[in-house]
Amino acid sequence: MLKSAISVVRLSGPNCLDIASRFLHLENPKPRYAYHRAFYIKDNMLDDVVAIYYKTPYSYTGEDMLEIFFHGNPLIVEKAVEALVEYGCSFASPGEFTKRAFLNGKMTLDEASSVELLINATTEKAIENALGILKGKFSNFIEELRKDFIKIIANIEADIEFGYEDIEPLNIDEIKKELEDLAKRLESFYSKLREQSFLYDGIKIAIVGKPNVGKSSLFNALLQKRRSIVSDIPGTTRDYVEDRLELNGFPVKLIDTAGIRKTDDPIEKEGIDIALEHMKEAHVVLFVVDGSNELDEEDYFIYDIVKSLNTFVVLNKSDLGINTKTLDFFKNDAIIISIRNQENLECLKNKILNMMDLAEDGIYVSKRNRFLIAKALGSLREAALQDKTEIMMLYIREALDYLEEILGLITDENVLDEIFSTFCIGK
Amino acid sequence: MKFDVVIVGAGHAGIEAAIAASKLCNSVGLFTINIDNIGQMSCNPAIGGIAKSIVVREIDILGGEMAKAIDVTGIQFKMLNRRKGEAVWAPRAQADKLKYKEYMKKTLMGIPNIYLIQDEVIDVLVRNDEVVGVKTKLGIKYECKAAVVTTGTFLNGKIFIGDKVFSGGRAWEPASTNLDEFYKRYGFAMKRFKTGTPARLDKRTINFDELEKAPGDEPAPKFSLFSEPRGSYWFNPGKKQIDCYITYTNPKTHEIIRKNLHRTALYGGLIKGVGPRYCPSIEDKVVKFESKAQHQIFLEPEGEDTIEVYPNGLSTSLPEDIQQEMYRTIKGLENVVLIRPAYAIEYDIVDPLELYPTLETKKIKGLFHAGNFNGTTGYEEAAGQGILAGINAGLRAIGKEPIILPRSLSYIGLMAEDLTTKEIVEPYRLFTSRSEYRLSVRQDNAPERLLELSHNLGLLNKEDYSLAKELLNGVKYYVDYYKSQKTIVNLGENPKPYTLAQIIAIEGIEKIKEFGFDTPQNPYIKDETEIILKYEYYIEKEKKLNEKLRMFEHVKLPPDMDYENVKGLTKEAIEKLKKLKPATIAQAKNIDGITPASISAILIHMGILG
Repeated sequence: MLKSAISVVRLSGPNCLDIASRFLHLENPKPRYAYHRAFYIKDNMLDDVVAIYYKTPYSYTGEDMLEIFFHGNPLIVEKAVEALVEYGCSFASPGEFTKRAFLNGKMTLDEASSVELLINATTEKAIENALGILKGKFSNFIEELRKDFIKIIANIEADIEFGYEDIEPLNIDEIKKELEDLAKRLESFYSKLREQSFLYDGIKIAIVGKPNVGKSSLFNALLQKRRSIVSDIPGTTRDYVEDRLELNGFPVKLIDTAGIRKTDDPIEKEGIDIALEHMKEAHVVLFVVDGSNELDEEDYFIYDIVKSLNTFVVLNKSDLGINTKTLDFFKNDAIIISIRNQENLECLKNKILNMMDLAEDGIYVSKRNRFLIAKALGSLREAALQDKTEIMMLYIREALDYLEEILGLITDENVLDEIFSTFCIGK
Repeated sequence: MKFDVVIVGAGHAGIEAAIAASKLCNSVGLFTINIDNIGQMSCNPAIGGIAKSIVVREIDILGGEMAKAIDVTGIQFKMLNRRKGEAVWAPRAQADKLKYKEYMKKTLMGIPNIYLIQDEVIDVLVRNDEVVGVKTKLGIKYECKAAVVTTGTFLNGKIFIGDKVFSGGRAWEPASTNLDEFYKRYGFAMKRFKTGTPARLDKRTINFDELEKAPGDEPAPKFSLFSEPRGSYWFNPGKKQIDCYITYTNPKTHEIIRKNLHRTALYGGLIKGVGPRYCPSIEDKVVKFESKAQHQIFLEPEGEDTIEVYPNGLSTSLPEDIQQEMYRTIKGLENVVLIRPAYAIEYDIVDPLELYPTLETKKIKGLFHAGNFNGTTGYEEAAGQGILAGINAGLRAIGKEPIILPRSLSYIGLMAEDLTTKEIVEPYRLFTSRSEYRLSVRQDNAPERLLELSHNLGLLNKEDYSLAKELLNGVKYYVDYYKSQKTIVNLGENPKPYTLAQIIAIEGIEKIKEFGFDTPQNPYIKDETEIILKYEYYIEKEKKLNEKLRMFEHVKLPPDMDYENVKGLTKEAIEKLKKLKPATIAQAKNIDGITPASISAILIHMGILG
């Protein structure tokens, strides 16, 4: 524990009032009211604190809650926590407060998950996205969709139950069309959903190429600072260098690898091996070539490795003129830049985002939620194909179940544990 | 006098209760106000229909009588939803109502350990919170170990015809007016429900010539596996049936209704009870569906030896003179004479939340309730509860534990669970949409679901059990056989090997004849094999969906929750929620008419969703 100005101990559960009375000598506190009190262990005053009591269900977890603001001396806080544990409190496991909030119906599952994202977000865009989900950007859409589902269900059920009576016979083609329309809406929503790991864990970009083509210059240019040592001597970057930058709000881990060439130098060799590893792990590989020269054996050697990866060919040194033979070899797949003249660097960034399908704005959600939406879409499409209404209903129910699973209306304990255990702190 | 089990009331619930109990214990006393009206069809002379037919076939496998009775006394048989998938098919039959009740009376009189007593039960005798007997109007006390109360619409029944109100349990029959004292004494929650029935028309005054005929189906479906021809759910071809007729109301009919709305018992404010939305009176339909120019009416003969015709869709509580005027605006009814006017009826029920899913009351051991007295509507619903209550009363009498029928196994069980765990605010009718097991719990597979259970309880005679068992073995044989046989066929794409089971699932069972394979001879085995193969995949899917855990059910709802301000709630939902004040989301979900959408609306309002 580090020193800080204030350190907050948060308690949740039915004994909060008793704890307030015992440790703070605070009787019947008014909810959501800050009390300036002393914290006592037995009869000894430990610290001068501020405490807030939250009454169920109007608290983060939905349970009775007590927050005690201590002075940020680790010694004080440790002693306080020790006393509380002795009293019967236990440490919150990762994500426990949020899990309780979910289980007490304070949040939908997707909202609860977004709390963790909010905590771990490293860019403004990532914060904005997590907040959007926390405020229901995702669940509201699903809720809207569910309401339309229910209208369709009512029509189908009425036809099954009362079809022989005095009601308009169900037009199955019309119902199918309505289901298809729903599917289209869901599909267009789905197309806005992006894998959240790019926004929260970041995009990994590796810069590769033979020595002295300008990899480190590109690295510095993208970072907009001097990070890698640049020289005319091939093999200057022997170890890899990595740094973080933000690309359109996405955290990027940019890796400048050692130049790849055939070498007997064991250190350089090791660097090259690491470079190869990085390439394979990267979301994007920037393969830098000296565009002013003809390609040589080493370029071809590297190209053979990277062409099956998510690779951009970057023809650098356009300020020295572009070699037409080199250009022809890559046809239109290469991006021509000049780091010296800062040319086309923005274009390169956009191309990267385009390739990652991240250029257009979207909602960044977990793999699980994207998967569930895809499953719901599949069931919905299947429903629209059925001629028997009772089978149609089964698929509609299945689609609805997937949507409800996102909100956490339906789920199983394993999924819950998995979701909440990804929290790295008690919140 | 002493009986093992006493049954109060000999309607559709009481009959099945008595028969079931008689198989389990030594003696059953069946009490009725009038033994000539045993098994009377108070309203529509029909048995079966969507969801209800499933119950009738369950009763059949549980050794009950309803299915056999309608097969013998039915005058028209139809398979509803025939254009849809087999899973939602539903047999329905018109009954000859006089023959039906005669059949029931004879059947009961043929069971040696059932004793019919014509007297009114006015009190239940209790010792240490256990039933020990009943007391009748004549002051006689009968001892018993268990009692099943099935008062139907008779408990404090009040009949309304326009502004005329009189006491009665059914058209001009005396109500039961004393038993409620007992329930009040023991603090049972009671409710007032209402229902209605149309006039009965003089057949000779109806002009059928220009009306659309509604004939029965050929082949005609039957309800019992054990009626002739045994081992089939279909009559032999050429079953003699009568026709029903179809006519329609028109703007003139509606005008008369609107002009006289204030004179109906309901809209005039006389009736306080809650009626079912599912069988609305004609004035309800005219008021609620203002834009509809006509409403369909089925004219259903009530039997071969009577001139009474039942106009299905024309129940009303208008005064008798207006009824006649209104009916006469309808095509074919220009000169109609009413034998008996339409009326509405209001009656006491005990809230079924007072019961366990065994249908035993929580307050008094050995006391069971069944039928309309539990707030349901329909002969089939009543009979289904009757058989369950009768079984459990019989089991109690011989010192055995009661049974619960799981909802995954039967509609009777589903109904018992719904009634005893969900608040009902209007008469409860079965729907297939109430069941999350619609594909696996069907009218055709009652034997598969209930045969062994029934056999273990000793409800079926030897012959019936071995017949059904043989049929089920046959189905199993053919299902396995068709799965094991492969043939190369061309179904749409290129010829490739398919199992016969796959061909049947896609094309139906007749298709395999084209490839030189035989279909089962027995119609039950053939139908069942086909349905199983067609639905197997989907039933598996249904099962998986039912295994998911439902969340949010435990979210607490404050008792002072302001439902008026919850956005997106329907008027109906607001009214029900305000009245019932559910304590949790689970309870709210369970209220009849509260949809998942209403639940979402509440959760959103509470800031839990969206």
